[in-house]
Amino acid sequence: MESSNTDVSPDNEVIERSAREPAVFATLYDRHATTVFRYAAQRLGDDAADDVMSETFLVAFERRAAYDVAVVDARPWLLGIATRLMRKHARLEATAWKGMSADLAAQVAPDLIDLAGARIDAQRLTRRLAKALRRLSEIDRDTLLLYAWGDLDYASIAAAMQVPVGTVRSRLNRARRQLRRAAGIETLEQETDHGRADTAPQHA
Amino acid sequence: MDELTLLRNTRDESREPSPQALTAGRAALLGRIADDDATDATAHHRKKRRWIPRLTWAAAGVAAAMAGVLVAGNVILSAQSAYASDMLRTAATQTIHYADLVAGSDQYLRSRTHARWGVCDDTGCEPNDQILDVYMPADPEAEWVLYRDWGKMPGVLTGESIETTRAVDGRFYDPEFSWVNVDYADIPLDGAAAYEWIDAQYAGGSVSRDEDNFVRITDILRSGLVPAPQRAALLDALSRIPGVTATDNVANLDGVTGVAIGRNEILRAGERQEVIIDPDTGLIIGQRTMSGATFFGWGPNQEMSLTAIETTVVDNAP
Repeated sequence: MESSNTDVSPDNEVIERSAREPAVFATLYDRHATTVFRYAAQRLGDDAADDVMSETFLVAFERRAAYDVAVVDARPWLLGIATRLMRKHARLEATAWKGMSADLAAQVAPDLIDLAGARIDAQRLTRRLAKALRRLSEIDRDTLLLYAWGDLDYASIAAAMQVPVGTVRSRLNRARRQLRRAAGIETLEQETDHGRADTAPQHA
Repeated sequence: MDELTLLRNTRDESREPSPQALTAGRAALLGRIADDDATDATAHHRKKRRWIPRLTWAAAGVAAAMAGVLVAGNVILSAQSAYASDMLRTAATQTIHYADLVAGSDQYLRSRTHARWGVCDDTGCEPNDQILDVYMPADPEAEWVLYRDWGKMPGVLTGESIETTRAVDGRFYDPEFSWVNVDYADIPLDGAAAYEWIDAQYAGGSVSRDEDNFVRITDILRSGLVPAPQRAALLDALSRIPGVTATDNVANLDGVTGVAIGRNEILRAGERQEVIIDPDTGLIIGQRTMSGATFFGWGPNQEMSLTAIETTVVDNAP
């Protein structure tokens, strides 16, 4: 199905108007359903993403009165709802994450290998990275993936997760550190600094 | 490049929700919106008709217009029925934009039906495959051709299982009746008007008025030869029949999948008749009948008949 939408009102105006004319809320679905789906599908797979996409807009419609109409773009709000809905799929994500993180790590690995000075084989790095991604705390993973796959900037993630921007920064830094540690990059840099790069240990 | 940027580069922009999922999600939202309005209307003793002028204003986009149709017309529909209505009306919209196949001056529009219909006798029914190729010439004065393989049955014209017959205007079996027994120009192009047109022709057939309306609409559509504007109106009309629901990913007899639109007839022990639609083109790609209860050797919810319909342009007829 293709939905076209010629209503050019910004999201916040659409939501505000939907208080008086609920049907216009469907405009928001036409604009952002695919974005919500993509984010959910990359985390959970397509089947569960269908449900998350649908439920997100049902929840959003019910909570539209609480929307901050000063915020023009509704994507952070919608992705925040989707993120919370996905928590009930934690077991599914854990399963999907195993295969997915291996794929993901395989994509990321060559560049990290560059960063690591080609001192580690791709297979081992992929395994480490996958493990690190799985082991991230729920809130760090949500923050990381809203950034990586939800395509939100720091301020938008803060809006989505209802936390200060500083908290987003520290969560992303923490996640980043864990990824670097898994890749052995942090160790490498420290030891390079100390001129002992060649003898840097490679932790399994 | 840091780890976060690397991770961000793995974002998959190619993933798309399926049209069925999008439609279902939208229908669920519209259903919730309708519930909200119905509750609100009850609370404030407001008339639902007030939606109509508002939505006329709000319907700047197709999306809003579709919401208006659903909310105004189907407030009490179940989610599944709302999905069927939404799917059909979306298919109707798509159909209008779909460029129909057009036969050149010396070509034919060929509709091929591969059918698995039951052959029944006193002991029960068994499936029998038939092929029906209808060749409609571009020249309305020229002869149509029907090639029919009756499968295990003898043909009615020659007694042979394979028959080829020719007739102007597709009047293969009776000079009074065309294969497409309707003048397409008579079909109103507006969905509501098309529904009224079908309903007004009800003359007491079938076990219920709704079943008869459903069958007469699908009988026209299943020819595979209905032009896009009329097809769109008939799909819209189909969505207005009470009790019509949709089932995703139903394969026709040739394995091509689409959305099955159908209704269960209570007066036939729940038997369900369906047409299978390609949601992108609004073309009918098959039909299916499911049993409602044990009947003539079929168990509950078993496939009683299934067809595949495909329309193409060909240069020659047999």
